[in-house]
Amino acid sequence: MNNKWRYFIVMLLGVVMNEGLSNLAENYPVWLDVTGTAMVALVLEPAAGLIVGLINNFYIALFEYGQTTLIYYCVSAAVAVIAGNVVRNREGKITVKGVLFAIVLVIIVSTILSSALTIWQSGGISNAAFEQVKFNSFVAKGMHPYMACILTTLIVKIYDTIATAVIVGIVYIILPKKLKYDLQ
Amino acid sequence: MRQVIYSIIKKTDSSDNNINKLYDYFICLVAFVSIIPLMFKRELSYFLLIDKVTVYILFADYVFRWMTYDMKLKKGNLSFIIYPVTPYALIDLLSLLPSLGMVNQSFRVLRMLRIFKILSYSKSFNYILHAFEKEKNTLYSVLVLALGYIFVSALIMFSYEPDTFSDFFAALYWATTALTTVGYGDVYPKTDIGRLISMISSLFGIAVIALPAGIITASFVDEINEEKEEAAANRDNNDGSDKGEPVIDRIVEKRMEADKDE
Repeated sequence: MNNKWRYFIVMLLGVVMNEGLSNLAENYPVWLDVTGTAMVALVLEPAAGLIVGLINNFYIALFEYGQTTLIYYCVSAAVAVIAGNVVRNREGKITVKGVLFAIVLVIIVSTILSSALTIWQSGGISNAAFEQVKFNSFVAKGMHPYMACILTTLIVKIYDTIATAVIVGIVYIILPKKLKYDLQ
Repeated sequence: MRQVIYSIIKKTDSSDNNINKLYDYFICLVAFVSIIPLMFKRELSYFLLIDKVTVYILFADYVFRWMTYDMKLKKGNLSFIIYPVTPYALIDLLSLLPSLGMVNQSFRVLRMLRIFKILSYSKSFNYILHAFEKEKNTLYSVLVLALGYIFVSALIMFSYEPDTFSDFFAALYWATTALTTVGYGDVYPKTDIGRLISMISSLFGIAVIALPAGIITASFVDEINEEKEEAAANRDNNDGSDKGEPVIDRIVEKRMEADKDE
């Protein structure tokens, strides 16, 4: 298969995964909106993941939450960079150590970025219903809104990153070899 | 993939392809269209649409430039850390913040900074930037001198005519408008001594205030001449003959002489 076609198909699959899974996860405390981004970064390269993340953020900004959510692209970008650079070792092989390190890194980085942006934009109140419920319960217990935002984001990111890692792992296993590797 | 993106977004020089030039024109057009809503008092519905569409494109451009900056800077992964703090990247980000809801709408004037997107493609603008860069130490000295002069003038005037000025800030305002020859005329000296001070300080003040203009103009002209000489040398070299060598020698000789003079 031509490498250009391989890139096109895997990136298209990434976009579909991002949009499809994030819509499916609407009623659950996970986002799943970076699954495709992580998968593309892992299979192809971080730059391809960055493009898929950009398309995903445009879609969300256009049809769901408005242009103010565009800045959350930095979370997708961080996931693409981590998935594309940390999961594989120097020989290019995927290792358990790499996967675990990437999961922890994504949780930490995306929590910091997401909560900082939410606090900056809206004082800590998220647009997502499931985050609002958790946030309100923390605030009702007397927690400072900023702390409540950070804790809510951390909990959701732990669920989200683990679910994303499992899905990406499954997709990677079932992905045909001609899409996984440049066989030319 | 990054190579392809870079070949499209990098700023055009004579050897580049049409897609590259088209992209440059497109980004300039988008940057210009994005500031049109600022020219109107009323917020019309299609202005919101313009803002939405243009901010997507400019945001994508920002991301593309960031992810390919290592190819321009050639400093490996360090380039990705450097990019966000480069002047153009900072200006780009600042200009996008109001549309991304990251700053209060009273800062929407920051969108005006998108004009720098267009200016960054202008050779003349880059000459001026180089001129500022080259003369930054001289300009800094002149700035300190000018500020000091304004401060002293204001202080002298304030001590002679305390009733004319509501506070020292009003005296500073008078000194700045008078010495830059703007002179709104809303604050002016009323006593003879005050007028005499004003006359003397204005005469010297013009010389101090006009200094930076001369420095920048001279440096700007130097930049243009250097560019012309280099272009001529390149043209001669590209002819495939030895005609280029004397021109290069002349430039080198000229620069060595200039260094000696310094």
